[in-house]
Amino acid sequence: MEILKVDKLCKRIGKKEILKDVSFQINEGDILAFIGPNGAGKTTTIKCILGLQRISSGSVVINGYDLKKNYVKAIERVGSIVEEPDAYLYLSGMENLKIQARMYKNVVMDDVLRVVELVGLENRIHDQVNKYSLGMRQRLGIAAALLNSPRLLLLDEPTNGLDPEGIKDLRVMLKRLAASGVGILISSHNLSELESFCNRVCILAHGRILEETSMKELKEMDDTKYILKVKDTSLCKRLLMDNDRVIDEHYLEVVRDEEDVASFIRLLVENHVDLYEVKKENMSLEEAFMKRKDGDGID
Amino acid sequence: MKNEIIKLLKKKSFYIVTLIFILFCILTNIVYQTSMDYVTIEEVDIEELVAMNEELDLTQDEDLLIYVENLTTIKMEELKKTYRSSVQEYLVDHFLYTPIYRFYESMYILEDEELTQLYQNNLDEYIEYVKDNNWEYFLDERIQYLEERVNNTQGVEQMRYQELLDLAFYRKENNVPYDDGNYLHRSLDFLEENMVEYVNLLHDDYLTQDEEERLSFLSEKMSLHEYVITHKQDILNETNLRAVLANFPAEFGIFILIYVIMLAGSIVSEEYARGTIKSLLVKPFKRRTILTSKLLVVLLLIPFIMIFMSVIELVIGGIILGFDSLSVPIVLYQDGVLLSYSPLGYLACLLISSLGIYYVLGIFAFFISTVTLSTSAAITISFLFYLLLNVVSNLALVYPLPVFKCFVSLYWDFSYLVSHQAQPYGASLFTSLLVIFAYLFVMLCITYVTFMKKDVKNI
Repeated sequence: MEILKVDKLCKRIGKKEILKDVSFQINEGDILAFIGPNGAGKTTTIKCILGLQRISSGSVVINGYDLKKNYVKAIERVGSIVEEPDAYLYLSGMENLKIQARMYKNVVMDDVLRVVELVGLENRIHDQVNKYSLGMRQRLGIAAALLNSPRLLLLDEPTNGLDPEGIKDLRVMLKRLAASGVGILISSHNLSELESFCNRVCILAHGRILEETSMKELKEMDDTKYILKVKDTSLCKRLLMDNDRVIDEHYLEVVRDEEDVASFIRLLVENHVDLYEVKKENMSLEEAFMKRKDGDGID
Repeated sequence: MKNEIIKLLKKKSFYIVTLIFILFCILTNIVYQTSMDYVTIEEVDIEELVAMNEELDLTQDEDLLIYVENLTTIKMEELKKTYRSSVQEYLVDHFLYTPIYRFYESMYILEDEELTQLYQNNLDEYIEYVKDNNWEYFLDERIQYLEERVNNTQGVEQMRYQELLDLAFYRKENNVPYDDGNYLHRSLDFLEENMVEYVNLLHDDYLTQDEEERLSFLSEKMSLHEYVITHKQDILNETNLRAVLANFPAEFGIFILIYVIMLAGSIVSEEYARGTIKSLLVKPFKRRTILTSKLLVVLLLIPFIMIFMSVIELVIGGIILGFDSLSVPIVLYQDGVLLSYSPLGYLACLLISSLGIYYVLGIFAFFISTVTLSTSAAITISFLFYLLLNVVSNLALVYPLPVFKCFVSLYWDFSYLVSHQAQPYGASLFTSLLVIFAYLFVMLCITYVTFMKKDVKNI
């Protein structure tokens, strides 16, 4: 079932177009990786979805409610962290959560305790937030985002400041939430962290969506990388193409699909190059992304 | 709502200002406690008088008079140094001048030994009475004298003596000694000293400007002192809790202002500065609702702060100065009428009458805070706004230019209602309220429109 549908979202500030025709959707159980370089418009998109910034044109529909027409209903089951995890520093973690909980109709004390346990902050929850580390504030932010048992979770760079343990916990938690039907959007510039558990990817640059696809498809994109071990790489230089490169005197890296790599091997043999080893390497999400950007001629 | 209140109450700045306020409160009360009516008593330089007397030529009549006068003064000063209690001093000052003067007069001017001896005995007798603190004796003598004057005079003069006689009788009936520590005595003394001038002015048909002013000044003072002796209530005491409370809004108004501007000026902009506005806005409420709850907090905050400060003052003042004076009313004189308020009632009336000022300033700070999203701007601009408006009000009193009528500060203070005075700028109550509401309405409209449209900027 469709939880979030963003359709032709545009955002202009003055004459500057911040977002242009951004469209994507999140279904039940989806974990969407929202990827883009700094200034691509990731945060702005999230803010528009949350109603924090006004939409110039286009529409956002959450749980079947149009954000513009029925804001209260649309936002009711949404949890979010935007930019920094924000909390009232002079209050304790618990007081912060209680304040947030009071603003939802159906959230009770049990929910507060439940999310505290979920993010593992039980021991420090009564300390003032200004004594928290960034990672702990991030955990508190995630706890707050989960208070209202959201159906849609929007996380803007949630791994910032988390230690590896924290990232692992988050990963486990998000997978479990997705399995229970929550739709999740995660933006991050640390793409390798998302690779392992996101099922879909949305690549954003300069306010436009470059690609919206499943993680599987992205990984299996035609171009695959092969590492070849040869006796002497200097003999092969004239056979290489633009994307290929010489690693050292024995190793070569070439980007070919399966068909092409076979003909490349044949070419090496015909040219009397001694070939010792061929190894297929899947490109990481990051590399695929960078390559995609290059292909579009955008820096 | 509840959230907003919690957020405000947990702020450090709130506690810092409260702490300063409490310290200020304690100091003020101590100042009130120790403040005396510093009446500057002219020190008489006895040595100078003695030196002067030595240079006088006693064969000259004029010099002789001065000589006797100086001797009298020296004698009185000596007596006052010997008999130091408040009653004794008063008795020497007010009743011994004539006996002493008569004594020296008979000795040096009349040079009549018999008479001198008589007056010497008389004087010794009087001094004995002073020594025994026997003020009743002097009072009885005064009553006798005044009765005699009443019977032998007519018209205004008789009236004067009658008034003085009444006061003397009052003193006798109520057994009020000539003691500066006794408030009834202080009032009786004031009335006795000014009665002659007052009755004269009152029955003079042709008064100069200065005399008119003097008369109205005396009327006010005399009415208040008469109130003291008729009601036997110490309404003129300025060193008790009652007096502190009566001056509370004037002295502590700046603190109300600081609280109101500080809290109203940060309630929206702080959320933006800390980024917490995001978690607030993504809750299932309309932006209008969120702003309204903040506005309500500001509206409730103002009376709450006033009550809060009054209670602190009441407790601190009560501990330092005692609570007894609260049973004495506060009495105001206005156009020949005395208005009486209970101290707490008076305080409440003053605070309520100043609500207009604080509501305009509080909403102004709220408005600047929402529009600029800067707490420091909101607080600074609000204070400048307040200063500017005060300057405008003062200018408007001197130069009644029509342009000044647009400024709310001409209308926002209703304390004239408490003292039954006329509105200082001649505006009616209805106009005043209308201007204030117009100001509030415009500021709130801009605040709401801005808040509804505001984007939460990216960091």
